[in-house]
Amino acid sequence: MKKIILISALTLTLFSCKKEIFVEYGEGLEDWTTATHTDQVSPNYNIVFDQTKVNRIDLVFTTANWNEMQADLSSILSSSSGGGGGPGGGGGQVEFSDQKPIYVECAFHFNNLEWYHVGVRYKGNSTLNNNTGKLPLRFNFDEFEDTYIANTNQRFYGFKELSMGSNYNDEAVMRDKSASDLFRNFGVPAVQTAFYEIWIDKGTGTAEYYGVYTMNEVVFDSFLSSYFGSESGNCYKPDGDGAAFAASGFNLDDFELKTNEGASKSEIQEMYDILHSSERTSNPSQWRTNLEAVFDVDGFLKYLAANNTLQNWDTYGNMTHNYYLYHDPADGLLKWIVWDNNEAFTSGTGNRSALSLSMSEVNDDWPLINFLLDQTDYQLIYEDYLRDFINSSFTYSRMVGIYSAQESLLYNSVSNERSGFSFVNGIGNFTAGVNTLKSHCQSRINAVNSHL
Amino acid sequence: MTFTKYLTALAMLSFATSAFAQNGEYVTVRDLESWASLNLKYKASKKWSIKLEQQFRFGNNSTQIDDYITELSTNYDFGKYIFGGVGFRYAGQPDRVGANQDFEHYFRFHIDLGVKHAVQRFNFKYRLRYQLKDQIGVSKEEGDYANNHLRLKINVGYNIKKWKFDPEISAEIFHHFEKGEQNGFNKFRLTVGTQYKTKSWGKIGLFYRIEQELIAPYPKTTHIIGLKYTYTLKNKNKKEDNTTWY
Repeated sequence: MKKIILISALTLTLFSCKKEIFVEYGEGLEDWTTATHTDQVSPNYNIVFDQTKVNRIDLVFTTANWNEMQADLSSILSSSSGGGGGPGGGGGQVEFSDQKPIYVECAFHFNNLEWYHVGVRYKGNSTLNNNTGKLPLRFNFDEFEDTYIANTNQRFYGFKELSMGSNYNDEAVMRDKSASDLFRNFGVPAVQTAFYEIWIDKGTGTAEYYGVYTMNEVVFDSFLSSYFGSESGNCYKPDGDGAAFAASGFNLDDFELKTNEGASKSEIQEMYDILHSSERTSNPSQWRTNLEAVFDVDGFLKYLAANNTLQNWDTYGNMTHNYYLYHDPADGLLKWIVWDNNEAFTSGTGNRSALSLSMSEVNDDWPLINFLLDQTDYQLIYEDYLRDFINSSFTYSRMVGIYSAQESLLYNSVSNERSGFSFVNGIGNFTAGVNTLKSHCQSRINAVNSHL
Repeated sequence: MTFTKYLTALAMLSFATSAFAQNGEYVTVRDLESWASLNLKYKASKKWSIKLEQQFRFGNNSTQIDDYITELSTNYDFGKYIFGGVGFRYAGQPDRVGANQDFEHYFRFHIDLGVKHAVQRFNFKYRLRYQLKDQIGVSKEEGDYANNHLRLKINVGYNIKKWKFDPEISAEIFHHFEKGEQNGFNKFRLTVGTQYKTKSWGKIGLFYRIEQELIAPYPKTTHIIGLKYTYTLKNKNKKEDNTTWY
């Protein structure tokens, strides 16, 4: 009997015991190279954010995956409702579901190379709720690495994630990119951008043109390292009532951590506590010192000057989103990072208006503006930055040169946009949109000069 | 070779190949698991029974615990041929992958509908099960969606005259559907087993099962040795169903 048991055990061991195979990353993936597909290289901005051309991306879905992506979006949109919009805001905005659209996989093609099982999802809020086929997208190149081991740590020239803005509501197509580039040029933290054509094969075997998109690098992926030289600090994406920093509605849950998930949010609480401290009125000098010890006030005032000049209304002061905060380990300060600028260079839309240069209409629902600009010292710094902005980054000749160059670059890609997949709807509108930007620049320079 | 030495050899065999390499990693395509369960069954009536089960599943050549399972289920015979049931399961699983390794908690619900009948000494059962499994404490907003399966199982038992170890075989196929995941027939199981029943201290079931993944890029084959002890609270007025579901 003993022998039978032993023989059975040995047989079981031989045919049943654990077996592992070694899967090399990229194994069996024809186009996979270290430089193009792995995390062994730094992000290649020259290729991915090439400023000299409109690159092309082709996404190839299976019919099932494409249908699942659309069904998920429909489900999310049906669970969204009206109302909300943040403090001080009126109604009419869509209260978007907290549920994020799902990632589905696709084959991603660029410059005759394929990236495999790339995660794609819709992104955005109200832009998703419009009757258009041209919707903003998000790519995650190793989203499906748990399923496809060979795809582990797949990168697109060093980038793990990328965001594709649809240039919603922008007949000039270049607002998102121009604003981000302007902020960067002026020294305000903003992501790098580039124009891309997106073509989608929904499983039919035919690629359909989905129009010109603006690629944005993702703040908590590549941007932190490239801009601040670190990514070890806490990076927050504020969204919701708490993001206003107002006494009413403040809560830490509205400050989503994008790095160091699960870490304490003490620096946000500290900034809030100082901001609302009674020293603001009893001892303003000490209050400013305390605030400047936790928050990059100078950087924020610089941002305000640029933002108000170019009239970017869809952010703090109107909306409780579209900015990031980074707790920079280099100096321990929270830094303001702008995000999602497709509504820039307009005086507003509907019942939302861009802030005036004096910001006198802003009440304590937005204390980062109201409390700071109450301080004469900060008011003077802000006005210095207004002057500096229109004399350096936002000069008429510089901006007209940029707009004209981008118009030439985009002309063919915009011409080819289809009805239902375009916010331009005719090349004439595009040209008019670009001219509007040029005249807007001059009017804003005049407005700043009048204000000063 | 003692049993301890045998286990040690298996463990060494496992650990020797489990390290991660810089530009790749090892993927398990075969494993030997052992499942052990204790069951307390109460037959409330001729048609209705309730069962409480505590199960432990060991993986990595049966050298480490992968699942702690507690399940409460009930079954009901709607007649001679039709039966149904529902069950609620808690499963605790140590997460040993990635940077954040902790203990994950899952809830599972299932509902069954089946047909049974006998042909001479053969007993046949056909069961359709819907089950929903979800990780506790992780929301849809965080990307966790319910993991659903439809399972179809066919079980055949044979009653051998004057023999206490009646054999049973079963086959089961799983159809997976979950938002954002690969869906379709993703797993099947083949099982052979038997049971030994005593009058005084319950019954012991022993089975061997082979489980095969289907749609994964590196489909895993799992060999499972199962041991199941069931104690039934006696009710002499009731005729007990002798078929064991593994």
